[in-house]
Amino acid sequence: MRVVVIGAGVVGLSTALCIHERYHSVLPLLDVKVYADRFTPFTNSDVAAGLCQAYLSDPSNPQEVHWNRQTFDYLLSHIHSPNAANMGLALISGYNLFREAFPDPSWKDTVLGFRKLTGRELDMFPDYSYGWFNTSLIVEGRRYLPWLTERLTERGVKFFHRKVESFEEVARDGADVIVNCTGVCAGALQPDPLLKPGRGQIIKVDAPWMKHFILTHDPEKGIYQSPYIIPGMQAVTLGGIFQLGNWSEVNNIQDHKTIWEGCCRLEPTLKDAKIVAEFTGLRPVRPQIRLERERLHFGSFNTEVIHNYGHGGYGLTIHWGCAMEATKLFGKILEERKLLRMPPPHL
Amino acid sequence: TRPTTHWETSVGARAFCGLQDRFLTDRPMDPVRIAVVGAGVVGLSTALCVSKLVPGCSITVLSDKFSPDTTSDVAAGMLIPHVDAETPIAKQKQWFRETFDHLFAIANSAEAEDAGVHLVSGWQIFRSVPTEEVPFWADVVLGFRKMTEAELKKFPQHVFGHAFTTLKCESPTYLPWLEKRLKGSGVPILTRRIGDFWELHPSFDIVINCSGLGSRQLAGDSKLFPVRGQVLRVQAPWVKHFIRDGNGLTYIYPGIANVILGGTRQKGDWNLSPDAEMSRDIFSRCCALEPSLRGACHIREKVGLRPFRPGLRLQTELLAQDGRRLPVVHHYGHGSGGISVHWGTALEAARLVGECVRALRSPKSKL
Repeated sequence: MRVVVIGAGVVGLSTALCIHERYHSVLPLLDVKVYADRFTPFTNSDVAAGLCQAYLSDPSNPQEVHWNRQTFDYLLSHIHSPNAANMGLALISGYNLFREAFPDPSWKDTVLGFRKLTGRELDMFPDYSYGWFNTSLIVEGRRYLPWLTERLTERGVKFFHRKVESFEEVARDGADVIVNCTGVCAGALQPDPLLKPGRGQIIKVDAPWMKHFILTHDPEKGIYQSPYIIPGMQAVTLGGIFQLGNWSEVNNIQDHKTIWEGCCRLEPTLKDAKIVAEFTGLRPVRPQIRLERERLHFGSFNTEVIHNYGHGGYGLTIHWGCAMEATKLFGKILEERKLLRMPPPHL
Repeated sequence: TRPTTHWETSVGARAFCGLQDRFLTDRPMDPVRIAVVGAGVVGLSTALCVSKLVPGCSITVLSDKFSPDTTSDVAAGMLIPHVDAETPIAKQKQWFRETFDHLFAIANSAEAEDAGVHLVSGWQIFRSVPTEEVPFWADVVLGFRKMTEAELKKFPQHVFGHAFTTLKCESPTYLPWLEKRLKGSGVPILTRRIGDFWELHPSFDIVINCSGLGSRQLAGDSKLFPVRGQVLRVQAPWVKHFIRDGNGLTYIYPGIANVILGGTRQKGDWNLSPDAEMSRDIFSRCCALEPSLRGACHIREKVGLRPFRPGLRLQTELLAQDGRRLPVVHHYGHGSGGISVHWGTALEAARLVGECVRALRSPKSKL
């Protein structure tokens, strides 16, 4: 059983790992390869701040709520490990700020210690009059992806630097199952009008006195278009840019100013912070994640494709739940082909 | 004419209103010369409070030790009060609140990084439910609440906890910042070791004694004793929360440039050299609470001697000898809680100093 995962961002690597972990012992001839044209630290997952927080409004697919929760619980279970920092995992608390009262999110019981902000806390943020405080997790791509890569390498999964032009070429090479984790570029392999880039730009600064995330929300502007400050494992990410349909991967000076001014207004102490880097990433935006099977026919043979792309700005937040779902779909393929000698254990 | 004064903080102004009325006088005044002995957090903050709130004074700070070599520099500077058995709770709460409000304003200003003050959230955890589930300072810190079951899962040995947001005030940064502000106000800061208060007479009219543990000798106070504390300073920038065991012996306090791991409490121990065995024990206890600390690096050891006393000494003593008089305002003996209450007690010390100044200026004064 030859599996090719296309894409080495958080979705590709975690799906490869989940499949291998689940089925390696019952399928001795399982061979998993990863093909990608970009690896860490050049993927979108490396640009993302890595705060585990889903969108404020309910997703159109209710399964996504479940996948978010599964991811949070999975990462939380690793927080107590001595390896947590190597994985890029840390607990972080912080503030979600609004200009007026806002309904509680669906994930309020997933995160820890969710509560409303008190008056004194809101006094710190004069532009905002309502908000939440909770403890969540950071999963930083720049550490997590190398960690996933190490786990996969230990398991004998091989990586290939390759720009895939079509599913057919991968099928003709001998892949039985293709796992499509190509993120924002999925449209190049198969047109998808629902998938669009949501360009983001972030500034990384040295501001080690910042221990909390601060996310602001402006219903007029939409998600990620209001300033946010997210401390990471070492540096602090400043952001607030979301441009739908913009494919430019180059840092833009106007966006830099928007981020800098917005974040300094929110947190005056940042004026002295040293800028260490600036990055642009393209969020793979889609009305809902495409996580489904597709059987493709190439002349005389068929190939199973499991699509797992379109995670928008919440890929790190939801990755493990999606990886487990993709693994379930893989299990169904194995059942149909009667490749399993015994029923698979419950996921 | 009524002297004008510049109120540095609204807290100070509120605390000090009333005293201002007492400085009505018709004649120009020679400045009252005040010596502040000690340049830890207590000495420097007292000097600053007096310079801002007591008009007509010229202040000089004298100390043999300055940051980073003071006791304050070893402390993590977490604003979590330590209960003083002798002082009424209402007073302790007032001092803590005044300190918290003062530092909170700094933390939210552009000066926060220069002053070394920042917010930090975290947990205080207990192995058994404490008799007092809600401490007296719960409404002074931010967002105080009990930990949820899900949060307590992180600490399997503990059954109860508090979650809140407080401040960390880092002396290695805060003290130089206070020194800078004092110098900006024209307060000289001199390196000098004082063996006897009378050395300061007649150059100074009033002495403010903020010599911490040094008062054992300087003030002949045998009630004062050290409680030795050893800490580790490590690099672990991913740790964003404080964790404190309710017994106060084990704690993890993330700061700007490092994380402080502690600690020890050894009564009557004057030894300033770190003990390797204790360091291993501290590290091990902290890793039990936060396993990711195993990956911490650049571990440095520090020792500080907390200036313990059954009750803070905050009172005026009029020294008299051979016809000479020297008022001394004592301000020492803060034990574990120095940084948590320093601004509140400094305001109180400034009030005592103001009374001394008034007494000196009073035409009926026989001083």
